[in-house]
Amino acid sequence: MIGLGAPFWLLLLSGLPLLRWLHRFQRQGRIQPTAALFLWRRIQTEGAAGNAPAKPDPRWRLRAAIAALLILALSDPYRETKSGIPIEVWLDDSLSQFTREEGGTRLQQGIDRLIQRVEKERPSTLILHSLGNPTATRIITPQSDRDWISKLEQWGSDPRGEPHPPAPALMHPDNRHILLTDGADIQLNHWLKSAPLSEIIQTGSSTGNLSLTRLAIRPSPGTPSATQGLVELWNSGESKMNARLILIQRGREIESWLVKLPPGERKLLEFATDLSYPADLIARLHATDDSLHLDNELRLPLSSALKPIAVKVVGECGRYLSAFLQSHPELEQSGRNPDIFIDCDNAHTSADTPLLRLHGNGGRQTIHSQGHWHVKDGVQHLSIQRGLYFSLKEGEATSSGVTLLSADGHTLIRQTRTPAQTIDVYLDLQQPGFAHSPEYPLLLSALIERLLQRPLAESLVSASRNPDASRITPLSLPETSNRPATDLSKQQASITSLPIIAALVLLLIDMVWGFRPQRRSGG
Amino acid sequence: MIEGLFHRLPPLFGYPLIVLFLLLAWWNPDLLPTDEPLDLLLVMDESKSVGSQFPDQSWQRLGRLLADLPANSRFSLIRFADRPQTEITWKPISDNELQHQLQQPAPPRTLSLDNHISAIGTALRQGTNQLVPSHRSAILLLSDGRENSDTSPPALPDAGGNIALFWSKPPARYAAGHPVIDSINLPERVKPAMTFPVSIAITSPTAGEGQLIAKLDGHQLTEKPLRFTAQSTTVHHLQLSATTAGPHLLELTILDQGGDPLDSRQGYFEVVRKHQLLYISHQPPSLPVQQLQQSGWEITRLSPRQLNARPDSFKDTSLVLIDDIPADDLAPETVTALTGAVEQQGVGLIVLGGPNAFGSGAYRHSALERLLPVEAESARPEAAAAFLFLVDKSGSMDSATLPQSRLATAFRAVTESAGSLRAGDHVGLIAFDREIQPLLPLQAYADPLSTLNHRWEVSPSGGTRLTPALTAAIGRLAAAAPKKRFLILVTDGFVEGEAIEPLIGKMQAADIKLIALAVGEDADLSVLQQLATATSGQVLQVAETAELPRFMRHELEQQRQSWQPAAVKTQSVAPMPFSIPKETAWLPVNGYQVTRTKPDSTTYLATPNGDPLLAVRQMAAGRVAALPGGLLRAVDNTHFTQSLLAWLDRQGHNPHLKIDYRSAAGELQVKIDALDRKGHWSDARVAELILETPAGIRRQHQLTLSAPGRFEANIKTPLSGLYQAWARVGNERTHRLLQQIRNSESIETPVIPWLQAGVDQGSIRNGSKTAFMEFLESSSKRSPSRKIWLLLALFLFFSIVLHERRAGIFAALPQKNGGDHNESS
Repeated sequence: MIGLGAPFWLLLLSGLPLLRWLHRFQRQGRIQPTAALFLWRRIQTEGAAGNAPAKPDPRWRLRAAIAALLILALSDPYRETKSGIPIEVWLDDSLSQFTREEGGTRLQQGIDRLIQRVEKERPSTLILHSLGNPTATRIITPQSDRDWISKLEQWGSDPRGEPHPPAPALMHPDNRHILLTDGADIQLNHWLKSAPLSEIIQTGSSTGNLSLTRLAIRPSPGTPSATQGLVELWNSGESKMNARLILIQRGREIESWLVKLPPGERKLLEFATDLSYPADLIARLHATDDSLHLDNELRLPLSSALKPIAVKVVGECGRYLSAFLQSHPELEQSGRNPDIFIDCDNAHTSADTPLLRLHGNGGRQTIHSQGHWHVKDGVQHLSIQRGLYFSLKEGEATSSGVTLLSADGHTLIRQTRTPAQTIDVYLDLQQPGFAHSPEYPLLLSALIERLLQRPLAESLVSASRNPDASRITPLSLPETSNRPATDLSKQQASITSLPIIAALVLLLIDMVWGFRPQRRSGG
Repeated sequence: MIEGLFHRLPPLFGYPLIVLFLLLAWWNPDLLPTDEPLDLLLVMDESKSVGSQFPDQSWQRLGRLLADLPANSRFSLIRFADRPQTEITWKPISDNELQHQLQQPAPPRTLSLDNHISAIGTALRQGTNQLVPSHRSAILLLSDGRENSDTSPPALPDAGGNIALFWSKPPARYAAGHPVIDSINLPERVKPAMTFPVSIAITSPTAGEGQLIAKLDGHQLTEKPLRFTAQSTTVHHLQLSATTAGPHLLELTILDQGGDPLDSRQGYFEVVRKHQLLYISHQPPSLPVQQLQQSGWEITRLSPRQLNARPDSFKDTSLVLIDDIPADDLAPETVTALTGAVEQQGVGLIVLGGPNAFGSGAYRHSALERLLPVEAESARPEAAAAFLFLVDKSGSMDSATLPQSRLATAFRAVTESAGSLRAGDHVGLIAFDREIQPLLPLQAYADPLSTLNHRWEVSPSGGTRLTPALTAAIGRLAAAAPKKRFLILVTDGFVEGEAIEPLIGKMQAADIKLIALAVGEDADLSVLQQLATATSGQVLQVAETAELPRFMRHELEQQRQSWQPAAVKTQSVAPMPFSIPKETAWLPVNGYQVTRTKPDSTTYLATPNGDPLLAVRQMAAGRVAALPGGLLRAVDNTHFTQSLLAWLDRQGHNPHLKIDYRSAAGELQVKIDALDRKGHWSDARVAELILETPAGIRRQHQLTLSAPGRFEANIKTPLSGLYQAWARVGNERTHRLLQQIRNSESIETPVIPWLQAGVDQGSIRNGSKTAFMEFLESSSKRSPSRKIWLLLALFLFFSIVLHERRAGIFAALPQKNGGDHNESS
């Protein structure tokens, strides 16, 4: 559709009669043939005075067309298009969007509706944003990309997390913004009140959902091979749910419950299992009216989670370290796929495996004051007394990283990232006075914990799910009245160039016409 | 010829000019940009690593920057450290108040911040949410990019969008303008008066001198001169000590040479008194006091009366020993304080038996017994007994001249004595004056205590006729099934002349024992004595009416014979929870109180027939031991005594309940691990935590179960300082001090990666003025020139036409006038 951005300029067209009137007069230097010289004056009088020629110069039409085209160009002619403006689609790809309804997920239904819209409007660019993962963005060009539909469908294959909507001010004001959501997230609905959205595609109506929100096991304090466990269910729907919950280990059902849960209620179930031969533990929920199946299973990777930390020792580290590694229940020496390196040769570097480098063996510098911990977590309770040995030369060599322990102005333990997490110990850990003290195993454990960034003694294994993610009941969404006043659904593609070019062509014709050799008027 | 050229010139040059104008219109070049207003948001980092010099100097330069902004621009200021604070909401840059603020050497700082924490992500998120979407906006972030609060990265503006984010970093020289305390090493717990080391790491950007002041609980302890070297960290050592038990605040401050504070840090430690034994007895201690004192025990001896007068005696105590004290000797307030000390502070408790404790000391159903690992009655079934209470309700029992009604006290004594009765005992109650008034029929009651705990409707009046009352009581008792029969008579002894001899025979025949309690010093005991002697009973004169309940209870327990006076062998029934020499020989005890072990307690030593001689119970945070035979007196084994006392000594925490926590920015991440009495993970569903803030405000929190025996919660704690936490899971309680420390946000804190990534991706721009002005220019609305060229072309076109037709028009005008003239002529 064609339109004018500034139609008031068309008022200038009222000047066209003036142009026609002007062309009733002779142009300068026109040849007026006359039979005799004395008749010339009469011809001139007839032509210029009240007896003006009835027809104006035919050139006026050309010139009127030029003027009209220029006036038209001033009126900002445009072509309305829906395809030009980029559409930014904000996909709520949270868990509730994977609720199955009418053969597909809510997200699939939303994407289908979006595809219909895109097929109709054919925007130049479709920018897809994941609300679950703000860094996930994809640009699709429906006009040039034949596979755009499959790309769009693939986008919403997995949940990316609960929505993290952007600040409204950061949404591009010149683009159309469309939100695909089921409206089950309360926080997202708050964002709708201020976000400049052009349209919301809301899908979903079912409300029944029972979810597994927690699965945890913990060895009993007295008998570590026997574990206590708990599993938590939540009815996030609006109706009472009946379900069967089973626990599976090694492919066998080891426990099952029949559960009746009123809406909005949680239930904790306890169980016991044997950890003599740890295998992955799966909790699975079977409920008839459950619309969302993705939250019906939780898995504990016990075979890997309860495995001792594999330590690879490089170089000659001495008997105290060997004794420590052998006696620590959570550590085992292993040459393959180590979780951590302990290097006593000061030659090892690691790209991704944490590394504990012990430099101080054989050091003969003595600490004259008590060691000072520069960090708080995990180590500050360890007292490093005066009189211990350390390696001065090595300690001074490294200047990067964070000093963990110092004494007498010398760095005794330093943590760096080169590129893996690395702790360099310049304290002599082989000196018997220290190796026999209670601080020795505690220090090594604390340093390994710091490198691994998890406690060694924690044998609790748990998996949990954000309960709010399982809320699938769609809420009524506010109107998108906060979008900009201008309707961004249509883009006005300027076509001003067309009348200008046309005017140029006509002007050239007129110019050629004006400069051609003079022909006899009426002759 | 010249005139023809003149006529030809306009179209000759006009047409190319029109073509040129049309080409320009087609190209549509921009004219000068328009001055669109800008919303400028200044997000100013005031955390410790930035200091105040850089923000202040940036503020002083801000006026010039604002002066270059287009008219109608607006300005807003967010200061942040631990949280964002909007100090100036959107104001036009021409606003007088804003202009006045810009004249100041520093930005307005009316809202408080904790500069030990830096939360850049939170500040930027709040900033972008404050922007108006349709406005051209710029955020100017003044920060070193170091964050220690783990905030999630905010959404950043597009590189080519309407909003620009500029990041201005302080030059290296501003990173730390003065010496700062980098870290403090301070022990968490110390012994009283013990000297302990404290080390302080101080980082200084420049060389210089200063002073370190150490204050303990607000009082200056010591000062130490400091000498700084440039760009270095030095560790300083102090030796401190404190004597008073409890938490203490250590405040360390660096002063410059002029005495002005440069930096300050706080740390907490707790002085825990160990080996403080509070010995409660009527007699001098029966333990080897000297040996205990030599092994480090400080022993304070108090009588029950002294203890009742000083209920805060448990505060500085680590172990309480009650040596053969009747339960009634301890005031209810004292027992409450003792319970709190044991359950919450982990104070240990030992109760030694003797002729006056446990059953004989009326422990049964008492508040003290609730703490103990034993109950003051036998584990073996006892033969039921019949107890008939005969209470005198004559007028003399309610004399107006007495401060307390004897009758009311008598009924209270009956009620309290019911604590000594067992299930299955027969109980009856009769009031009498000249007539008898049966109140409770003599029969077996499942719960004698609640049966007798009743408000009896009795009006004191008339004289006392003892014979009919005794006759009725003896008749009822004689008919009762139990073979042990007791008649408990309470009277003020004003017995009118009556013949009681016939009654003696009846009582002897029915094997009824009389316990007569004569109230008042003026009681006539002769008649009662006569009766009691004949029945192997007892007459007790209770001078103080208030003492009546205790006397009656004590006498009943005596009749129960819970005290076994004979020597009895001691047997070990379970390994001791502490190490003792294998060859330890257990000597017999000279008498013990018959008790039974509670289900949640453990018996370690017992008599041959299973009565406990050493039973122990974990009562929340504290351990409680009951020795019904007063074993410590009999054992000639100092090692055992010392080991037991040391094991029972104040724990400071409940081994069944462990509070763990992590201090994060503005919150404490609390974890509680709970065991049940059997050593399994607790099956409780919720843990309660009462948290007292440094300001003294208490608030209750509920921690939810996250795994077997594990409860977790993140609790908002905006105040830094010492928090006291009381946790309860099921019946277990414990207490712990939690420190909400200020995180050490410093120049060592790394620059957050997402900020640097934003710079690399172009969504964050350099905060220089040049870059800012470039943005101002580039983001201004363009003004297209097409219309101007079109109008020029149109105007020129008409001009050419007009010029072309000029001759004809001018020619026509005079001709027309002449023609008219000709026609008229």
